[in-house]
Amino acid sequence: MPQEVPNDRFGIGWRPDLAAAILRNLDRIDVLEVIADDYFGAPSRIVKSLASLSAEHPVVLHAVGMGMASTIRTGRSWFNHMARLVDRVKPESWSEHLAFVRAGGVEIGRLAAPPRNANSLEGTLANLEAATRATGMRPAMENIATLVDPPGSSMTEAEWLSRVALDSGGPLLLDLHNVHANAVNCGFDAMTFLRQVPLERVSTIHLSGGRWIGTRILDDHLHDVPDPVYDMLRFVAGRAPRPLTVLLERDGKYPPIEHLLAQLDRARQAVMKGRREHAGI
Amino acid sequence: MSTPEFEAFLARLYADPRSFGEDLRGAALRFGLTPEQAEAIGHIDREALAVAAASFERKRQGKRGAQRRSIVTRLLGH
Repeated sequence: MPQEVPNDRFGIGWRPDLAAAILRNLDRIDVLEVIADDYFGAPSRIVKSLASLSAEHPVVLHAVGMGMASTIRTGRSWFNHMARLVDRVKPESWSEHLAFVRAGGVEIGRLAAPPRNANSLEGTLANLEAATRATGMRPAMENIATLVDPPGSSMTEAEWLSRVALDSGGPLLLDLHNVHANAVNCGFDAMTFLRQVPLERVSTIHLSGGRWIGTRILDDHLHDVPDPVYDMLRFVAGRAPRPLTVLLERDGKYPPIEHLLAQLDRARQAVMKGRREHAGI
Repeated sequence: MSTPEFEAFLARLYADPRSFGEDLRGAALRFGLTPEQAEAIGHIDREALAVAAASFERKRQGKRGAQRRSIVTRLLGH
């Protein structure tokens, strides 16, 4: 039987609480995504252990604190930290969020959606260029979840995300639970959103789960991937031409590893179905 | 519309919305934002803002806890 998805890969976010279980199951996990910020300024032996892991198994780095989606330039030290980590760990790629996290001396503490307009687009592209120059690798940029429809926006999220991807020429990390949450929180149709963004630029996909707070969804990464996200994954797989790296994120309330691997298996099935449908098989 | 000042106001608002009171538009003007920017701030969904701010606060508390644990771990040499 022909293999329809020879290059798609499926992985999981590396977390200290899951480390032992992940290492016991590496034969079922193609890629590990490691939070880069945890290693910025870490002792050499800690970084060395990550480099050893990366030498044995595909590793991608994921940054959370740079705040690149902003009219404010990201501090050079963030990129220097990432450049040093990239140099030592040699990941396959790295990524960050399309978020701002600080301004005017205030740390928000979480990823905040920027106002989506020409100014923030220009600032984001400038930060992306600086990040690429510093690290020698163009990061994949991730759409974020938001409870607040950002004020001062003149573009929809799909328009703004598309402009970032197309104007930068860089890859997209498409977080499908974030799309799901924003569709609920901001009142749009998730599938329409997916038809509007350049899926040809998607290299990586995040899957996670959240919880309902009244009529809104909080993307807390503490719950299982909900059914609509698998439907979205199948849809994207049928239209995204690149090989996809699909990553499951879980940040707490950890279930047994088998439970997480079952979600990864379900993701494999969804991608396989999407690819087959596209191929007319 | 976006400027560093606008983002600075948003950062403060997201971090501590209660400190701005009910009149967000007025607070934005007093902060020095333009009337257009203040108008946009005035249209924020307050209920969503409250839920978001609570989420941001939980995250900040979690980070502070993690930092304390990290310091203790390093001091103990683990």
